[in-house]
Amino acid sequence: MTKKGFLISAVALLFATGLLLSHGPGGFAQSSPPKTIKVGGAVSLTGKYAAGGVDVADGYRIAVKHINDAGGIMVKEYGEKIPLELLLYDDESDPSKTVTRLEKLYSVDNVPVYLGEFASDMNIAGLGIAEKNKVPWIGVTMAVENAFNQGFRYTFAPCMFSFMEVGSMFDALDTISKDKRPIKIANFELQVDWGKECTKYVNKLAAERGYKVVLEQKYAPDTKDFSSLILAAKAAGADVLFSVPTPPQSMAIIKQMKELDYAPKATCFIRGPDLSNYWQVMGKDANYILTCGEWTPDMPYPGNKKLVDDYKAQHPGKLIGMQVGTAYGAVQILADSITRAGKLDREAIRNAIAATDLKTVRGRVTFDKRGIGNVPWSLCQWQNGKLEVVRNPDFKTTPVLLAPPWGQR
Amino acid sequence: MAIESKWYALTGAALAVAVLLPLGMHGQYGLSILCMLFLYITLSQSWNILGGYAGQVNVGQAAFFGVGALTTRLLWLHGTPFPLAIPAGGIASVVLAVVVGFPALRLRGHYFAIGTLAVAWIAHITVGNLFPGISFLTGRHVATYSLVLRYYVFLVIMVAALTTIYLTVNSRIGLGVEATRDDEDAAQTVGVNIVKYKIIAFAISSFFVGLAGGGFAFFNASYYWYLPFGLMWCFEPILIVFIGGVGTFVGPIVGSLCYVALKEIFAFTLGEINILIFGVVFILTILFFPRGIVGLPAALHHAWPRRLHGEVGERANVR
Amino acid sequence: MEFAQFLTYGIINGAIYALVAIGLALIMGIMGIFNLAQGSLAMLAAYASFFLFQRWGLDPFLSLALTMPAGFLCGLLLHKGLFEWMSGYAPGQKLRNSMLVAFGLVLVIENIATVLWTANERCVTTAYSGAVVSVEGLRVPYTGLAAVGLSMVVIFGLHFFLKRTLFGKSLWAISQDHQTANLMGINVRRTTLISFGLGVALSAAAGAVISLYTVSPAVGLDWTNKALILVVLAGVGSIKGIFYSGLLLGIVEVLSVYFVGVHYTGVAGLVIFILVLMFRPQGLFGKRAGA
Repeated sequence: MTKKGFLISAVALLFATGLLLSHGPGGFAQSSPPKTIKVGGAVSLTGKYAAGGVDVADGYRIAVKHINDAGGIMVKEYGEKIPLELLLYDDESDPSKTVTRLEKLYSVDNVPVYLGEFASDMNIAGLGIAEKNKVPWIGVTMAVENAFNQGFRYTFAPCMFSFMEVGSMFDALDTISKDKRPIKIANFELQVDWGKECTKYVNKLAAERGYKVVLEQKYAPDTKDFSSLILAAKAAGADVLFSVPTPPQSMAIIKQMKELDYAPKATCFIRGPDLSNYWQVMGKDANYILTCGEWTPDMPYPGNKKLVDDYKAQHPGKLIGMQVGTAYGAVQILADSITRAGKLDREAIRNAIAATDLKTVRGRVTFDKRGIGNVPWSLCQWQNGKLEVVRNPDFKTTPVLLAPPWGQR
Repeated sequence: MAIESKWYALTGAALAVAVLLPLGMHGQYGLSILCMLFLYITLSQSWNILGGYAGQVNVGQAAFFGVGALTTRLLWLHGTPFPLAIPAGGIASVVLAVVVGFPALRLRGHYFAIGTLAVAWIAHITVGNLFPGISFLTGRHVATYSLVLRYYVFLVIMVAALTTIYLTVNSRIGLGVEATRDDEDAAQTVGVNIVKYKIIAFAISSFFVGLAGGGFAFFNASYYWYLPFGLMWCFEPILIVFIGGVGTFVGPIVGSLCYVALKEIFAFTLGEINILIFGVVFILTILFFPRGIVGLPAALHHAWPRRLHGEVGERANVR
Repeated sequence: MEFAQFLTYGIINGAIYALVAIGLALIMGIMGIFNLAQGSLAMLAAYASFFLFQRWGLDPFLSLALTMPAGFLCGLLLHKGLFEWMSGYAPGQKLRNSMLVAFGLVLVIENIATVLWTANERCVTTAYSGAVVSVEGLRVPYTGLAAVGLSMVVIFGLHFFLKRTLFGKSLWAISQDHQTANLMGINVRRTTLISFGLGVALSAAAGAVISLYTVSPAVGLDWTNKALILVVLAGVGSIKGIFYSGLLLGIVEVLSVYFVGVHYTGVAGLVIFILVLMFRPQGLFGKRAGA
């Protein structure tokens, strides 16, 4: 094929692609009921964040299945129940790909609601697109409060944010009797916006509640050696360690702490040890570690048992990740909002989401004016092989265990 | 430099289609995909003039892309109108080239490649530490966001890049640039100013990469500041150019088309294994087109290094 | 004391970098095949070590007896299927095509791993993980000692193998001049095939050590980038130099905390690398000057 041939075919391809891809139904409101309600989002099924991405996808799928088993969502406008159709497009853990996938959902699939995904890199892209396209967006994991201080109207995150995560740690520590309570905090600040926000709240709450931040040191997502951080924390006599490491770092830091014989009474890593297989790979070294408690399979909230049983049936032998529950909850909110809106109109649904007051598998959810969810402030701890909830405002939890020195475990 | 009039007609037709396309389209998806396509074409062609034609394999393009994006975004969000902010990104990228790239040109071959990779890596870590947060569009910008506008911005950037690069490689400068690639020592002995041509190629390359970065910053509603510094922005254009056909003009265009289109289609249809299949297709492409997709006809002519079709003989005569 | 502790970790980390890079040094430095998938192959080996440990309690250093031969066989298959056809190419063309094929391989390997094993991080935690040899207050972890030991054995072993055996010398000859080596009676095809297998077996050694830290499907490219830096820092073609350069990089990174924050130690290592590149482009122990 000659060069000209190439150019011709390139042009033809461009034109054809453009026409093909641009085709989407013109208006949105339709007079006859659609066969399904399409909802969905871009999810990281491959790439760096695939672990959480797959869990989120699984949670969505089970939720949609449960809803469709009951006939679908009742849409008053048409007077009938319409099933949900879940569209999940892989974005390779790359925010640039997230953009085009979400645009397809908007202009080709015409979704009335976007669903969020696991990692913030991509979720952030989703927020902007949702706002500019005026499509309501329900998040699954979102911890950066700053993202919701932008005055966006269409974004909602029924999740634990930085101030809640930090708050839940202090809540848990407060339950320990004063004579045994560790109060000297070392904060390893990960150089991402989430890490810096957490620092702000650690300092604030420590001052308010009688704790002392004795060390604050920075590290980056690519840091692999933590000896200087650990030795500094040890030297400062810190008996509480707080950080939001990446999952591999959450393992590396603990291993190095053992090597350097540093065992603070409380270690709180909001991210990392919340992985379902953390104990499986770390063994006893994972004992006593506090971590994010957004959802566990045992939480006594309505619908949890059904979710867990169905998950185990579909994925025999697989450990159930935290995001399965939070994703399920997001779809519950979505279904409830569409029902209350009564029609498949984005504005109406947006307003319905804002007015949400629903008991989901992760607790009761309402939203504040910014779209930040009012969710239970919950914290977990690995105790002898099991991820126990040690702090939750809604039900009685097992008490927090303080870690003994390494030699005594 | 004889270009048949058929060429002009074809290119003009393609351009007309591209310009008129948004008017016939209501869908945002098509526009956003074309924006990405134009971006990748710009990036790969810009890499190509330095890496393909001048033989300096720059594995640090993300640093230039990122600097362009950073500059444009900062200026634009603080009030500079985008038609000024975006070219400012291009200029910032050239400044980076002057500061970092030109000294690096002293390094030959693999060392230049690895050195530029190290620079991009340093930039990625540093920007991640200095700007650990998110860049959001303010209320006004979000409310007036127009995808059609961004489509035209990317189109203009791409056409400018392609035109400039096309004219350059078909001029005397182009000869000099290719001479430095083919045999540096020989070129030097016949009086070709190696350094000058490498600098020219680098300047052109970095300007358009920075410009593309500016377009990227203008395009994205909200993103982490360090996103355009990600190392995949180094690797993807190189892969595209090689798969398409390095050192040719059409190679990057065809490569970008295939790369973007295939990835999209696979993502929508193959679910969890889409990248797996893409990898297999990628490998098969190399095995069957070792000189790149475009290189197939050239392979038949046994012309190495490849030049634009039909011009080898002409140029030799024109001298 | 703190300084000594940092130095210890610097040496351990450096030895691990070197171990990851040695396979690439052989495959790319000597054979001219740009194997971008080197880190991903190490990742596969790390998973193998992990599963062998989880299933049968095999210590990663012991399961090397299984993973290294398996890696060797994989290498043979990969070379036969994907790289052998470009053996006769000019160096530039070979580098380019091998890089592209290897990149496709990275995508395939990474995604097979994700589909089969999920993308959750794994690590091997043995009975002696965390245990240390205490020398007057200095804590030297057993896993670190073993990693350094393995690195030294593998790298210096490879060096002597290449320098002293007939096979090794044949490989050198081939890397210098393909045609002449052929004319001299060296079986080029077989030698390159076996060497590639060897290079992949070496990445299995790296995988065993990586499994003691953390592994997930996506780490491959990061390790490969590190290995690339190290191969050039040492000097393309150098084998022993990989070990010393690895140590240098590891130590520089760790000690840089005295000058910059922990969040810039990666940058410090890269800056040193660039400085070496500018003033000694053939690498610290490079064989050939210039290009």
